[in-house]
Amino acid sequence: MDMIKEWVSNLFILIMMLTFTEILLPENTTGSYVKFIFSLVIMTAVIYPIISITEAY
Amino acid sequence: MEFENIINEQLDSMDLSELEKLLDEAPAEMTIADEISVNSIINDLLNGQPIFDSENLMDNIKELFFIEVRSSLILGCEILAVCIIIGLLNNFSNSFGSKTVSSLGTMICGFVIIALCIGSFYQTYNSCSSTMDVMSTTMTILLPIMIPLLISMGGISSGSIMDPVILASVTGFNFIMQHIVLPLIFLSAIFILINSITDKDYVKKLALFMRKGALFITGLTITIFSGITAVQGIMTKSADSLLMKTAKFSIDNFVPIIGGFAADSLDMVINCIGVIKSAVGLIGIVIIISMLTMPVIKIMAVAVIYKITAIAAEPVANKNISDSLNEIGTSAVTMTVVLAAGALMFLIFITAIMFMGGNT
Repeated sequence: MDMIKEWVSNLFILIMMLTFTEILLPENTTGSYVKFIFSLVIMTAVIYPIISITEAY
Repeated sequence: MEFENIINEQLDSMDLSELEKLLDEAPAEMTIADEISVNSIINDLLNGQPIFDSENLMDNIKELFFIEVRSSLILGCEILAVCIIIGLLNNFSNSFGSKTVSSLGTMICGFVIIALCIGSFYQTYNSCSSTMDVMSTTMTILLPIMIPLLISMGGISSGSIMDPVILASVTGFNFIMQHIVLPLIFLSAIFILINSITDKDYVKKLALFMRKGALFITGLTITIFSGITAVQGIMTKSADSLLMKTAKFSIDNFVPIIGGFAADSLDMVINCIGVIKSAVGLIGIVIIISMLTMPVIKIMAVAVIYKITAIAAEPVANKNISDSLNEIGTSAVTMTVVLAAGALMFLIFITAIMFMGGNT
């Protein structure tokens, strides 16, 4: 359970930071690319525990 | 009368001090029954009087609910005020010149809402987990009183099998609740809240999955534990009745002259102990229900406030925020459902012991 708690708090802070940064991005092609990269980062953070739990098996 | 003497003798020899201490603490919060003790319940049972004053009970519950709604109204007002500010910021976004300023303001308001909600939801979580603790403590106090009564009624194999089974179930259920189910619901609420400040839904499905998973685990645990208990109860019941019949038959036939009387009075003593066992079980049920009522009403009031705030915020604030307020309300309801399911399982245990033995 401690691992899950840590994961949730990490994810919380990550989404908070990325949303904050998204607002400051310029409204052009570069901005939308960066947004896409941010969503990739969040996806990795979401599926990270599945990989680390099943690693041992 | 003779049966009253037997009951009084048995009651005097029992140590009910812990149960009575618990009983004194329970109705202090919730006046589900004014004056209740083992003796008064036995008297009511023998004289055929109702134990609860149902009209009074409903009034008390209604009053308590509205008091709680009123006291959580402040939280709703705070959230709603922030939502109104968000609506204003959205409308004024054109006059700020750039979109960044207004969306930054909206985001900060979202953080304020998140802080308010997490604060109040953490209280809900704490009260749930302490109620769970108190209920399992009640069970662990109740079992050492009821199981010897069951054994002295002739339920020898029932008693010796049920005691470890029920104790293990209660402890295991409490552990699963405290360490898996309630934290899962709390963490899913955090995910739901963080979802309210983002434009896209990043973790909504994950949050809903965690909440469903918590409910699923609760259902599974209750089914397994109460199933085991029920099956054990049925299995041992037939063995016990065989044992009792043999004992009565041998007293009746092998002891000359007074054997018949002895067998009859044995029956009487057994039934009197049965009455005491029912009364003790009933008190356990009353304690568990009165322990449960207070937090359930409290959390229900908070859930209603969340839902009403979501309804009120829908026209003003943006969609994400009202959605997540709604979902937080559902999470609070889920907590009470889990709590009530736990109480239901404990009630099943108590009634299983109450109905065991007796029909020899």
